[in-house]
Amino acid sequence: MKRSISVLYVLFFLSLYGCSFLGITDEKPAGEKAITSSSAKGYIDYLASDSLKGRDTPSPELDSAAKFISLHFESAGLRPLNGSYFQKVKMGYIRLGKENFLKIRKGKEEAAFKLKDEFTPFEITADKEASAAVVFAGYGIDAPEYNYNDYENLDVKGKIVFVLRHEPGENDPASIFKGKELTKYSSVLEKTETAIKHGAIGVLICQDPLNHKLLTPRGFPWPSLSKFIPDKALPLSLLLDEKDKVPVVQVGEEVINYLFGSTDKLRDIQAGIDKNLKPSSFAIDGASATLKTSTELQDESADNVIGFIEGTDPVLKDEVLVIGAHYDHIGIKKNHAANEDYIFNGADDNASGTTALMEVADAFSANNLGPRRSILFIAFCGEEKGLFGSRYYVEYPLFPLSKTVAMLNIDMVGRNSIDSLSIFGAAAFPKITEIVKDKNSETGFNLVFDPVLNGGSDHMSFTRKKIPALFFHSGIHQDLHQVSDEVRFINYDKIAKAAKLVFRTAWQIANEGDYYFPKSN
Amino acid sequence: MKNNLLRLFVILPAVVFCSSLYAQDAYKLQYKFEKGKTYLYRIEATTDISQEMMGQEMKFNTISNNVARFNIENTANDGSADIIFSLDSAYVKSNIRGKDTTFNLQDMIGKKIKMNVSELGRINTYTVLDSMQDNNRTLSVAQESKNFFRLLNGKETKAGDKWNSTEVDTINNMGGKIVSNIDYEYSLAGIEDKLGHQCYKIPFTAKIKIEGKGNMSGMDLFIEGNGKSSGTAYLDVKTGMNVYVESSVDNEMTIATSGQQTMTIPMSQSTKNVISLIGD
Repeated sequence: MKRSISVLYVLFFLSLYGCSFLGITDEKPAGEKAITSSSAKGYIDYLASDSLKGRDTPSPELDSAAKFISLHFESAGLRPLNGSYFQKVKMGYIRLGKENFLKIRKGKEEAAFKLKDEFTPFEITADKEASAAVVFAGYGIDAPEYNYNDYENLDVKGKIVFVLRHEPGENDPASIFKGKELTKYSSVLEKTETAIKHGAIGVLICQDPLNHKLLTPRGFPWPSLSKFIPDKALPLSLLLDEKDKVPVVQVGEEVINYLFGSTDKLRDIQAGIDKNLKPSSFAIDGASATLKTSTELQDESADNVIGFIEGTDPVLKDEVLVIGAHYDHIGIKKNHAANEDYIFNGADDNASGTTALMEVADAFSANNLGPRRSILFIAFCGEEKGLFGSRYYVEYPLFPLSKTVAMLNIDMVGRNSIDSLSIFGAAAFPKITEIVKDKNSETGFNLVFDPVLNGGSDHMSFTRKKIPALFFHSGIHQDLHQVSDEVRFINYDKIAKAAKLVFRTAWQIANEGDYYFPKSN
Repeated sequence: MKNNLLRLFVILPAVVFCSSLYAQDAYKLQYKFEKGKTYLYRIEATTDISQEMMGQEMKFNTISNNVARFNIENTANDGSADIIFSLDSAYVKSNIRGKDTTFNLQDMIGKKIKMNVSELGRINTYTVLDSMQDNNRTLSVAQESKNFFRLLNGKETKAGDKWNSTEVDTINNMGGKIVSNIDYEYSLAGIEDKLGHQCYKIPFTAKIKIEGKGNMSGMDLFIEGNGKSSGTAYLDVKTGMNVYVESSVDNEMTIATSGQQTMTIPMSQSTKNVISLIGD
């Protein structure tokens, strides 16, 4: 009997221990009660009100929305980081400066090339001069997942690289890249970042001659170089620190001929790379270049709003889950009739997602227990301008990206059927998708798992940095980017329901062990 | 004697070569329109477009397959003709992000465009007789008809001769106009049989410049670009009408917007066209 009792004790304590161990993840988190349709209505009614004039980036009204969100984070007990709830996202207008030149020396000869006709800087170029040997780096791609690396055994440190646009087998449906569809590796930005990562100090990019007849050095269509494109068409750009940039230009036929002897020679080299899928990179014999690009910046910065919950686990608190939603929209109609509605309220896009983000913050705040991992709540600015807020964050993260376990993006969750919700990224990130599926057994959405990881929202900035991300979205509708995207069409219950699913998913991710987030992440 | 023979061997081929040049036929290249005649053509075009938005390059592909009808309604003493152009069928297959969609453009079928074309192939007047609800569709029909005629020189032309022409094409659309300046260089390669017709073989190249302004949904639009084209036209020796044309066009353009949204969208467009006579 005594033995039975002692066994009982042991079992009892074991079960207690088990409960306490499992309790964090298995307990239905009490804070969920804080998510309500009525509070959602309060948040979205303000964010999508006419007084905020469509929350354009940048605008005083966007700043008002940022203040509103930051006060909410504060009242929910979220902490500021580095003494502030705001992260300044540097953006503005980039104009081409006065001094831009490209000179290439081959042996004893030197040739100077003409701006616009023979070379044109890209908008991501630096306000810098670089002078170094020129190295041909194929397509300028380092893609481990495709087992392809143009930089293999190539030393480009302190050199200027010459790369082709696009990717091997551009028009080949059987290409090891994505057939005829271009992957991210074809983008100028990716090629430039890869070159910088390998130590290059300048980038010359040319149209690939195998698949394109026109080798025009298009670069960026700078209004100052154009007869037709006016300065007012200059788009807002993200301004990265100059220290992170190098001069980047597109070069034309004249530069190709000078460096390679003829376009045919370069075409042959390209054909060889495409055929063998082996890099054919080499230092161009005796060639060096002096490349200078200059830019003038007009600052038009705006803010990401960031609130922080520190994890409770002494080890896991160093890891962070990001929950994000963009709070900007597209502003007002600039040419409109006197009696016409001219405000793009952006109630669904994305006052609804921002509201859900605030609701999730409320839920964590109201919870009995804190999450084991830390959580960053980020309301991004500038999504409509090109994911500026999230792109800036991943370039200048407040937590190391290596410690960022996942990102959940909420964008447009207030329309269409209350029963349906789309999840983008499921195929790419099956483990966190398992969590969503599991947690949805309580919320009861008919989840649509989109096989393609796209959707053009802020999660893409994180996946580019190889951080697992899911995108919660309730589908497009006829009012998207119309003045009719107003709160009268919003389903507050749906926002609350989506917020609950995000909260449960976030809770699980924040408390999960190594199974989902092995150290190799 | 041996020396003389050698000299003969050298001179003879040279004389033959020269006489063949002098004896080479010259042709007056022009259209000889015949009232009441109808020509049916299959017009196939494959277009690859890639455009950059927000740092990402996206590719689209369209394949169009149309049957076009040219009916010579009237001819004038100066050799010009009123020609009615319409489409008997129009299909477009598009591939965007790996998804194929085929459109049967029923609303374009039978919509007529009247052109007055000179005997050298210059379009003197141009009237859309049946416009469509979607003005862009009208424009695409119009474009097919405009691209049909080569500008001939109307002179005695021998194989190897070249001539140039400049065509200015203005499209009024989007509250503004887009002007294409195309500088053609044609040459006569010779006479060749094609699809059962004796044809002038005319290779051509062109340099294209595109500029334009417009307004759409409260935004000002600006278009700027340039391009290259090359191809070969086979024109019926008797009528001057196309028998077979294969060509390719490559354009690099930038579309910029200001106003509601400011964007610059660089765009590359590459088109391969084949026009073949299928009935006359």
